[in-house]
Amino acid sequence: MVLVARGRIDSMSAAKLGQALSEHISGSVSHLVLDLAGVDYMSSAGLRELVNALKKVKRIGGDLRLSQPTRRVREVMEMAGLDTIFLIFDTSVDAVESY
Amino acid sequence: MDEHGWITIPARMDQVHEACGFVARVAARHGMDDEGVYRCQLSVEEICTNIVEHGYENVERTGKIEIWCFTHNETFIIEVIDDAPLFNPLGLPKPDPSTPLWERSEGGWGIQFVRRFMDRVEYSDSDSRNHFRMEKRLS
Repeated sequence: MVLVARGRIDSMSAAKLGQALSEHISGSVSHLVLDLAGVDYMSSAGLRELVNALKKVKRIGGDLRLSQPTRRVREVMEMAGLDTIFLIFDTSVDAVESY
Repeated sequence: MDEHGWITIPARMDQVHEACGFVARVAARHGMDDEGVYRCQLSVEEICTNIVEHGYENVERTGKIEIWCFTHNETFIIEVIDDAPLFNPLGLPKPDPSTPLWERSEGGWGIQFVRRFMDRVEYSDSDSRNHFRMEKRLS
């Protein structure tokens, strides 16, 4: 399953991202890809939702993998050490094929 | 002090974008480049969000946040002032980026982004109010 996020993920909108991810994390194993190519702004609120979603999906044996983060998103992820927590791919195709 | 501007917002999450938009407009008007404007916006969001989520968490819900912007000696200065209980966010321990997934707590990164994105940050409790000052060079 590939989910595509766009625009600005800030303290106002982060909960929507978390909700969207949660809806796709069910009792069965979830292999999710989140395409971040269209996200030009992500604050710590957005990162918090990504981490919470990753914990949820890993608890049921799945994974959340990321693709195409923009430079700005990659920068904050690296600052928080999330580039070593998430598997990150150059394209969504690569991310899907990694499963 | 050169040009300046200020805004007061209710301390509510749905108002934080007003503060971000205001700072972005003033920073751009003062000649900040796009990357600098982005960094100022994100920093203001993190500080205001902290105030709403933690500063006013257990007190009256009608609190306000003042945001002042001005330039001085080619430096863009943002000062965020609130009347929540006095608290210095710069005194919090710095989170460790090497923390494994399952040991990660919810927060702590916002203030780190502010430290990194701004050239200088400073907290004071003058007049028994929280003052968080951020500086970023215009060039």
